[in-house]
Amino acid sequence: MVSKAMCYHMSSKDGQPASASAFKAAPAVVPITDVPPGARVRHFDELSDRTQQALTTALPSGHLDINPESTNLSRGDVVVFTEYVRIH
Amino acid sequence: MREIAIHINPEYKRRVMSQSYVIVGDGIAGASAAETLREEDPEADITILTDEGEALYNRILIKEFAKGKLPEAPISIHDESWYDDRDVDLELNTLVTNIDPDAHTVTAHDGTEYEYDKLLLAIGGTPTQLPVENSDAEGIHHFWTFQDARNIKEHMEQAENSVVIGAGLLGIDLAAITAAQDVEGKYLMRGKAWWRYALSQDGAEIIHNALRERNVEPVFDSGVDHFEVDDEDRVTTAVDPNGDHYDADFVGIAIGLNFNTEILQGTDIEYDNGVYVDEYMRTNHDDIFAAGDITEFHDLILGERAQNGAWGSAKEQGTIAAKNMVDYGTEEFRWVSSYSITHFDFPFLSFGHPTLGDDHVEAKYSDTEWRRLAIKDGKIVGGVLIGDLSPQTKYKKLMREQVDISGQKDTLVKQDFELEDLEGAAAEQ
Ligand SMILES: Cc1cc2nc3c(=O)[nH]c(=O)nc-3n(C[C@H](O)[C@H](O)[C@H](O)COP(=O)(O)OP(=O)(O)OC[C@H]3O[C@@H](n4cnc5c(N)ncnc54)[C@H](O)[C@@H]3O)c2cc1C
Repeated sequence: MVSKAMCYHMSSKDGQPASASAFKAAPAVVPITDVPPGARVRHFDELSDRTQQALTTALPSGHLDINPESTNLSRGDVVVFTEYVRIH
Repeated sequence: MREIAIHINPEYKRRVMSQSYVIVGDGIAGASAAETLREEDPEADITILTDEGEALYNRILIKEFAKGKLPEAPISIHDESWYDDRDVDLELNTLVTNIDPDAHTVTAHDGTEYEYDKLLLAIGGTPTQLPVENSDAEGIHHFWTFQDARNIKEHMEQAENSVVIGAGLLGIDLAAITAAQDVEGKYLMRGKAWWRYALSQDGAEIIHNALRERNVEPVFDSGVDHFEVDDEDRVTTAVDPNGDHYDADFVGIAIGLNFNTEILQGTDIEYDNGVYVDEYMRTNHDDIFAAGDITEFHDLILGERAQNGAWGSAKEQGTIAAKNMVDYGTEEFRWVSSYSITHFDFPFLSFGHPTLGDDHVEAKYSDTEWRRLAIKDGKIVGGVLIGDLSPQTKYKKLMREQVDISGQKDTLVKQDFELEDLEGAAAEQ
């Protein structure tokens, strides 16, 4: 039988900002493989049309052309889309 | 003793006395209504009754849990303190079995009666059972609640082979769970295409190929005639109407929803498939409202009754219903619903009512890029986008504003379509 071991833990550094200064830059969308414990996870369908548009434009790994404070996304959020992405 | 009837002006009562609101259902429609009610009416008594054993969770993420990609924690949306903080009384494991609109009461399974000034029915639906032999055998799953997802995950982790039935948006979640859990799968469909009422063969083929790449084999012109079981009443095989046998120790069924209208029987609340509401989410009773999947609402964009089955729409309806419960006529429900599939490398989004319309236009751009728009009376009423979601907001705008796009179908499906490409009145958008 196929092994189905899974990992919910942050096993790599993907999804982590490189440094504190990264927080000052425009929010970026970064693909991740594991969901950091405590992260808020949103499905793509929970986002407003504008946020969906900004997110799809930003992918695969660009900057998000929105103010996360004025949308329903914040830094640190994970979005389930065609892959899991995290807002930095 | 002589009885004295006291009539209180409803407007006076609303302003001066605290109102009591009862909400049946703690899904996204019921919970968002509670949140809005508290914002709009700080003094009100608010009670939510739910037959589930847990507070609001993210129904559209339970598939990710069942796939094994998310743990339980992020699926939960509200813990019980959320309700305490807002002074909302949440009653779990409470099945409402009766509504008495004249007495303004609802009764729970244990006989407890709850009085209301205004009632919201946010009761959603229950998966339809397949009416075939052995469809209640062990190993056969339906998919609606978090508990269903836990059962599916646990079973899937030990399964050898699976069969999925139901060629729609929920069936594909079950097929994707099969794939994510590395269980070989057969996806039995009636007809020759997945979601054949919204997609053409070209569009569906993109989905079929993506399923095949994940070791889930679509089987067409099939379905289930009956299931075979072992001595312990566990499913072993699905037998389709052609007599073909498919071994499966896991079966997932998603052939539709039965809306939870039983509690309306014996009342004069109007319903058919769902509860009839106007654009303010009010039923034919002034003090009874409904929101979410359960409603058959007056769709201002479509110009007829419609039913949505999507998270965003249910949330919005809950909010709109609450505003109108506090002050009727405050805000209409005018919304273009959308629903996406996130299981594949390419995005998929359906919006509006993609299975309706008297006309359509479609175009294929590559092996993973395709679009179809459903049109009624020269106006867009829905669509499906595969591979490129960028025109989404433009199409939704045209739909929301009921723009006449007659004679411009080909322009609409130009790959790099812009609103400025339209001519005549449509161009003014
Ligand atoms: C597996 C799955 C995947 C989905 N994926 C997506 C997606 O990707 N995108 C999307 O937009 N939508 C998706 N949906 C649809 C979406 O989840 C629903 O449209 C939405 O949750 C409906 O919310 P609701 O509050 O109207 O109903 P529900 O969430 O069904 O809530 C109704 C609640 O009322 C309770 N209830 C019913 N009758 C009674 C009673 N008599 N007494 C007490 N309580 C009662 C029920 O137990 C339930 O908790 C998905 C649904 C499922 C099941």
